[in-house]
Amino acid sequence: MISFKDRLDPGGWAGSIRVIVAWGAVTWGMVLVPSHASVSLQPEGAEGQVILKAAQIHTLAAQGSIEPGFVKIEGGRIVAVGDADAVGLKEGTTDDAGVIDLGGAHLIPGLVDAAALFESLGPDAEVTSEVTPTWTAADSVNRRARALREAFDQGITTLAVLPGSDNVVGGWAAVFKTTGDQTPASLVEPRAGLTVTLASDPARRNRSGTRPDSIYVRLPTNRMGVVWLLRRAFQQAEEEPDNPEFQPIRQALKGNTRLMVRARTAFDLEAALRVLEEFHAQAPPILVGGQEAYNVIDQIKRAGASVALERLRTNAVYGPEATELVWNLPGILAKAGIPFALTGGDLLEQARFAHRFGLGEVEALAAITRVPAGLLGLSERLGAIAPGYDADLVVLDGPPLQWSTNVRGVILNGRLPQSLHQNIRKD
Amino acid sequence: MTVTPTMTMHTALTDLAMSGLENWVTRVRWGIAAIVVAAVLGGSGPIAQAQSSGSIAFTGGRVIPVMGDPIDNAALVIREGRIAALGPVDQVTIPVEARVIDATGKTLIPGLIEVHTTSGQDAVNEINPNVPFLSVLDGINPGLPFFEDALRNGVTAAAIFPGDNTLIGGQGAVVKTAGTYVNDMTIVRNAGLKISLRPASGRGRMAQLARLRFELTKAREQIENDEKERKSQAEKEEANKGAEADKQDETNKEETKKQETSQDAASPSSGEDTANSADEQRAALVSLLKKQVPAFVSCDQAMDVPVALALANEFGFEPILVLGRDCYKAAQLIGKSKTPAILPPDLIFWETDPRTGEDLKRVLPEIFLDAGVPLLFQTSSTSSATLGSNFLWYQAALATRSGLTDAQALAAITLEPAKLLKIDNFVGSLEVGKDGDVVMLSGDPLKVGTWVELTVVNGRVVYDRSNDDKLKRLLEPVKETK
Repeated sequence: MISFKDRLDPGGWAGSIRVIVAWGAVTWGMVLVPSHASVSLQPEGAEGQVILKAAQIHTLAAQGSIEPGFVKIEGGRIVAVGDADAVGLKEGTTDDAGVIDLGGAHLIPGLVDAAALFESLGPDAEVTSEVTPTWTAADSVNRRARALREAFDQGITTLAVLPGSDNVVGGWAAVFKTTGDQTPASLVEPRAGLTVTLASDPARRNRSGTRPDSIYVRLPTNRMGVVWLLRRAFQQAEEEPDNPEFQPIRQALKGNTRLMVRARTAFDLEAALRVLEEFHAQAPPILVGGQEAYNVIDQIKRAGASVALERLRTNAVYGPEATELVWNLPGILAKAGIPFALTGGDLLEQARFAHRFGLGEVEALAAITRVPAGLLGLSERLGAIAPGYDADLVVLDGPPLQWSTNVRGVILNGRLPQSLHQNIRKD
Repeated sequence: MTVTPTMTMHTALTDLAMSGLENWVTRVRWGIAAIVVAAVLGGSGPIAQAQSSGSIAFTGGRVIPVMGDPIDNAALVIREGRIAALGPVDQVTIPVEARVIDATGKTLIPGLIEVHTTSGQDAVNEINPNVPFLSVLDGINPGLPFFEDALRNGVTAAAIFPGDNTLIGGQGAVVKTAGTYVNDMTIVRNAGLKISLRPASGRGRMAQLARLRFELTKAREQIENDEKERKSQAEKEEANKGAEADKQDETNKEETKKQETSQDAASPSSGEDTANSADEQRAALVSLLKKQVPAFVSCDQAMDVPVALALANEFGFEPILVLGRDCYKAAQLIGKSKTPAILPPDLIFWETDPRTGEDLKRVLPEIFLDAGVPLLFQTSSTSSATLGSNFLWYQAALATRSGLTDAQALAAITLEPAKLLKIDNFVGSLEVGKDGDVVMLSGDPLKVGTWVELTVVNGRVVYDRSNDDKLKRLLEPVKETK
């Protein structure tokens, strides 16, 4: 994804910190000049080496929280985390010109949204067919869309775009890194999981009431139809092993790819688990939505499923089924030991509310970083501040779970935003 | 019946309604000179004062009075609905009969005040675009979840106004949020006239403004005519004086009475001679132009802001701007004009430039602070731009991100709204003599983990978190049994 990787030789930069900073100062100086050309030509430290110092680093990894701490970034990746010693700084030289001192800032991993409320370009559902297993959301995402910029601004560095909920089998969810000031979103994984819907959505717009006397009235128009279509698709996948159209379904049932099931009510969640059991699905699904999961805790646990909770709400009921408002659903899932992520944008604010409603502080942070990264199968490189991980970091000007805390800057693939340049020591 | 000349704020219509129901006990508090007036019509009945029960004493907590410095280990005594004493715990005598509430580790703040909301009503917009004579008091439904949520979130008073889709929408009122009968809750019967510059759908701004100017002009003419009439009446009386010297006593008495009533009604239209239906309908506009009530002018677009200011200048009324999203573009103008303005519920949002396609984030608290506009907040139960915009405390907390201090943020949802609504002589801060509207918090105000533990209105505990089954249900549903 880092297009400059090939052009620049990272090894050339790996030497003296001072050299890097001299290079950085030139680059960053150029960034301030309002010339887009110069910006787009400079990777802004993506390949260089930078050491960040912050008042507190919430690693979400084995190291826990480090106060104060250092993160060493090289080639768009984190190479060391810990005290001055750990990043190769000698005692007493912490104000070395090579260190970007972020003052009282807190660092958290770039946030991961496992089911973005992100609209793809144009309609997100196919109206001529309910079952489109081989289609991919990646093909219809506008990588310069405002929603991706907004997400980036909120500290979300990675998000999954799911096909719309109007199809019973919608197709592949895709994972993107979000859009910075001058860079379009980049595709991380075009086939992150097969999305199916087990809710009222596919039946919602098919009623003849919406198009009276129309020949275009199509299946399903009720919930039985939704489940029947899903069963039939699963069955066809088994009966026609050579049909490439059903390949993704076969993969998902075999457990070779993630299955993401949109379901909100208790009976939809139960139906989803039941159908998967019927077809001997080899891997537990990710339940997307999950608003009434509190009523099917045992079944979810037994199935080993995880939950990508739809955006928390504090004011109104959810979705076409108007599921009940349960503020502490995250806390309930945490207590039950069910892996869950907060999704749907505004993740930091959601984590604050979830914490307010009863979720522990560390669990709240994990639910927007480490856990969703794991749900998307990217736990080896995303969702934590640890050596070997992508250098996706959020710089906060206070503790993460306080209302007064601002996102001061977002570091994506090691690229430092302009908002942090003031912290660079010039001398 | 105690009536003073300052009690001039309710309109002809509401006054007529009142006179027919003498058993009601209503507290009307208002006054240009900020004088509290308690008007007791008739004798007994379900008394508003009865809301205030015995004495309550909070001891040991931290008190943030908003007016004045915080007091640690404080005692706060509420007696007969009012704050009777406040100070360090060793300097305050706790009345023997008081119910003592241990506030150790807790924080006491004044009840929060919604400075403008359209919630809590039956239907907020009238189809007829010109209804200055309507009052929200007739539409307020204390049974709506708005009031329950208000107490749960520490809001003890709310200025409720007609919606934004009606040109001249009617009169807003300030009510305490606890109660089952709106008359017992009302503290200002007419808090201002709602005017909306946003045309109803399908109409244009030209027609909207023409209509508004027409109505304001009519009201101005009426004031002028009434003035003329009063002058000629006075001359006539002068002439008759000698002739009817023997009847003088009686006449005088009656005249005084008549004048009182007309002042009381804030409208000359209630005088028998001039009364006709058109005048009565215009009474609210007349009191607006006499600066007896302010206008809450809803501005949807930034272009509406200068228009509102110009209208206020031209017709001589006091404007309070109720801003839409777009109005941040007029922030500098608002700041320069020193006009009070209430921010829209969406405090942070994104816009795309229609020409360049550039995406821009708008942080309203930042923009308005830069322009020197004191921040006042609204809530919305439907907006999803930010997650907590249905909580007044959240709106203030969000503004701390833009540099507002915690103290300023707290004042922006307590004392500042009280000042704007001219009720700061009895609510908005914790001071001896003010209403016993107190909120006990589990910790520091405007923090993620802080909850409202107790809400006290007029010295009565109206919300107790430990008994809030609804909140418990919202947090953790009752689990199904198999």
